[in-house]
Amino acid sequence: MTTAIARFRQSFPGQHATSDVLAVRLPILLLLALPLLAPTLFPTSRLVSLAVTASIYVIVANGLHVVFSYNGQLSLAHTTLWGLGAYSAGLLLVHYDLPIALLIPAAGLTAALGAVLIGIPAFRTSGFSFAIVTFAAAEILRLIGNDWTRLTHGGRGITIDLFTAPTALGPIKFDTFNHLANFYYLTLAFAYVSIAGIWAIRNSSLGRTFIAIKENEQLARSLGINVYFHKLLAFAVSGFYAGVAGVLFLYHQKHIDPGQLSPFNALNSIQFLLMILIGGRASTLGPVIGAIVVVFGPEVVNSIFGNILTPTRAQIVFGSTLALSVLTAPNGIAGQTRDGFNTFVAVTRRSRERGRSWPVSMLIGLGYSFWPRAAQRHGINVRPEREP
Amino acid sequence: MPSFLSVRRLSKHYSGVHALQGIDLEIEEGKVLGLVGPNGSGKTTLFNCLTGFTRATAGHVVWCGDDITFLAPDQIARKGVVRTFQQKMVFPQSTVRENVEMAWQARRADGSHHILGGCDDVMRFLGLSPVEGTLAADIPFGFARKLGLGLALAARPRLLLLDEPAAGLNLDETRELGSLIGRISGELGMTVCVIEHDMELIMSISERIVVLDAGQKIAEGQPDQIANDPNVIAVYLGEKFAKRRAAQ
Amino acid sequence: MTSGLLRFIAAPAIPCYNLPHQRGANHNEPQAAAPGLRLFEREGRVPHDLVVFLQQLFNALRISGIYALVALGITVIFGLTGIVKFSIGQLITLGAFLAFAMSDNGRLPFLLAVPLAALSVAALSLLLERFVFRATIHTPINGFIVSLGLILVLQNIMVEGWGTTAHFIPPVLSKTWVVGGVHMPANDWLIIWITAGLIASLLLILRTTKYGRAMRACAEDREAAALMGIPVGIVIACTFALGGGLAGIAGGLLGSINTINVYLGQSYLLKGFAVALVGGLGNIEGAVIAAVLVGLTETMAAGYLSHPEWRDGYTFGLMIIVLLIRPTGLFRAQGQLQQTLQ
Repeated sequence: MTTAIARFRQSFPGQHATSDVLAVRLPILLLLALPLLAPTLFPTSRLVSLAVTASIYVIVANGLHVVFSYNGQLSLAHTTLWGLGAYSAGLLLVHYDLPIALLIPAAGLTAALGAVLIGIPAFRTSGFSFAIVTFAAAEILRLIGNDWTRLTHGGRGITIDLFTAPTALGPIKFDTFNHLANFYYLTLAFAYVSIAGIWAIRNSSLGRTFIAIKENEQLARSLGINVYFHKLLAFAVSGFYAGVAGVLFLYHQKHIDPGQLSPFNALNSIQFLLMILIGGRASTLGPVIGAIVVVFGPEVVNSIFGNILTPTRAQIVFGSTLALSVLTAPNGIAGQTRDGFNTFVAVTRRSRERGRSWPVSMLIGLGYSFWPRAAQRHGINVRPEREP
Repeated sequence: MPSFLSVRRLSKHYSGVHALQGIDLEIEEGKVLGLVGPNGSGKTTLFNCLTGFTRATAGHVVWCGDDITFLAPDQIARKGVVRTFQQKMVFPQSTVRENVEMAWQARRADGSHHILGGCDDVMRFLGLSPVEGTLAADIPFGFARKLGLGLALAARPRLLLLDEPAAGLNLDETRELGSLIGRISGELGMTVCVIEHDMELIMSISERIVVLDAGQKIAEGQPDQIANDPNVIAVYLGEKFAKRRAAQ
Repeated sequence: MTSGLLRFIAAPAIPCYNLPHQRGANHNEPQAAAPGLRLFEREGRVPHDLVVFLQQLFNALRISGIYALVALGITVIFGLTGIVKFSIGQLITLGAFLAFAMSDNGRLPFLLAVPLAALSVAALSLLLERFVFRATIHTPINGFIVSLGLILVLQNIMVEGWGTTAHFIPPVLSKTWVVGGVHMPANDWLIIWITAGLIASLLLILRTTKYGRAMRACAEDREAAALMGIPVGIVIACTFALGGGLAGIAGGLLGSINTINVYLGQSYLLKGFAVALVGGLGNIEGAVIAAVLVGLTETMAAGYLSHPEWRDGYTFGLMIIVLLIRPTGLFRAQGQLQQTLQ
């Protein structure tokens, strides 16, 4: 027992507590497996439907994560790429009845191509100008959606009929009327793949190159990194993510139009920015946490306090949360949790060294973990949070 | 055989300001070249033109037979000409090791074996290994300067351009830097070109010195020649320096 | 009634594609301007081409003024702090709604309601500066993200408060002059004069007064300005109030030439940004010139090209082309801004 505790304590070498496999990675993986149970746990199909929405959001937000958090480019065209994926899938479905196995790569590639086409002029500028150019490009795409009636059906949008459209992948059916759970597992699978994808990017030389560009573009250039190409690449990857999510969105909603609340409104990009910032832009799982909070947060509040959060009010709350989180917790929930955990470990250990008993030490650690800054005053410095 | 790097009649005009006026310069392989001159004499502009950050108004830069005047900075870096910066010299929110890794992988191995086998070698060479896990924003200034140098080394250049590497360093650190530059030239076999205001340092490390003033080359030669050149003394070094050097 | 109809006919430059209830109607009908143009044809005395040209010129003049006001608000704030205040679109909407609320049913004359609305918006902007943007002064990108959050907050507060119905402020002057076939509603002239006067006095203030000099000094180098004894904090606060006030006025004036709904500001925000970027973010004179340029592009494209519904697309296309050729805009801004832009 004592050796086990000793090993447990050794596994925190102070600075790199989060790298510990047993105490951190395993619980996180278990938590990540939890959504698999959603269809059995959730009592209503409405909740399962929300879980589908959350999974789709996770995919889109992960894509934006690559561009925004890794590469440092604030794109406001991201939801429009999502809409582009949905539109291209819808048109292919309406005109050619393609199976979903073909639709997904097709829509993904279309959105990636759209991202490249937007990026080619937009990456000539940087910073805010880039954000605004992507916004304008998104508006142009929306105008096409609205006004190129012959191609896009104009403001009526595209409605797909799931009773005639191909909704099966081999023997598995996943139309959202009768086989919502199957559809949920399909989106969830894509969400997992997207998480694994950005995790792989983050830990590859490509991800480091993206981050180098974010941190010091000029220095990166002087070391031989082709900044323009890598920015386009990051944008194309995130466009692909958004395009894939677009197909799933289309199957889920069965309709896409260029309206105010659809993915084709560029301002909805703020939603995904919000997810990343609430979740934590320095963490791989930030967008996942953010998407879950944004989708299920209002649901939880409504079930406790009785439907006080209309969608409009939820937006007000989210908007202020976005502003507040930027000002007070720039690394979001994930960053706060990590700091809290590291503080807990460090304070508990120091308290043990001063001869207090285990329960007392852990209690003190728990207290400080909610307020890492207070622990800093006592000389306990967890690994400094990386300013985004 | 084409010369290593040669600058021919290079000029840069900023709407009326003549930052560089027809500079001619040869950098010889394997040597350390010092580039000095008063503030605003066009040293950094020359670096910017060499590395593609500024587009020259006229003239050419020829690197091993290729005209690189109008290439992009990253293309020039991949050809083997890498510079450092006076400010913003590191990736601040990454650890020292990550910094070096970023620079290392920026350039694909071109098949040629390099004396530095990997990031560890770079950090060991510069004495950065003790701080490898620290964020670059948190390391002391002297280490940050070394890390800036390390990033350039990790990009495996053949020609290394150092822009005031000793600015802000104290005496000991400057001395250490001097020996480091000597080792870069000697052990790693890189050609080095240094912009520096610290004349003691530049005199001790350079094999040849070029003096710029108001965008023109006013002198070129061995350190001793330069120190005694009346022109250079008048524009840059001052009488005091010449006397003190003569006394030594 | 007739004058109202005429105003609608003569106003092809106003984008109102955001109205949800109009969405169906908007893209199925070709263009509201078309019957108006036919009406000019019947006048017959002045060559038709010239009439169309002059009419579009007049429309361009009116809309350019509004764009210039919005763009000036954006550009002064950016020039001083490096913060791109995206939530300014919602301040435009707020200005329009306040002007509407104050002048509805003849409570206050419109010309009094607009400045009052602008003052209230300026006050709100001042509050936002004090409690929100001041914390982001050293990291402008955070200021930008915060302003994105404020978009959600302000937008949805207005949706909550006023709903999504459209409102309409009756024109102050209902007379319409017809000179050689060109229809020039007196109300539009009023707006042109108000905006022109505002822009001229603003340029004068920024060029000659102590505040203007202080502002330009802060834009050049905030720390040096502080060392010179310039109260930088106050100057920044004033500038936010100024930017908000300009958005408020623009909104109020828009109320009298356009239907008002809670999504009104969104499209003007983007136009304002297009103008500010084309003119060079942070460059005040550039913004005014670019406003005229964008106004002309838009109205001329709407008048001459075959697809007037792509009007906004032409503006954004112009902006993208300008930024491709000159990433810093047509006119360079001075001082530390350049570094923020890089």
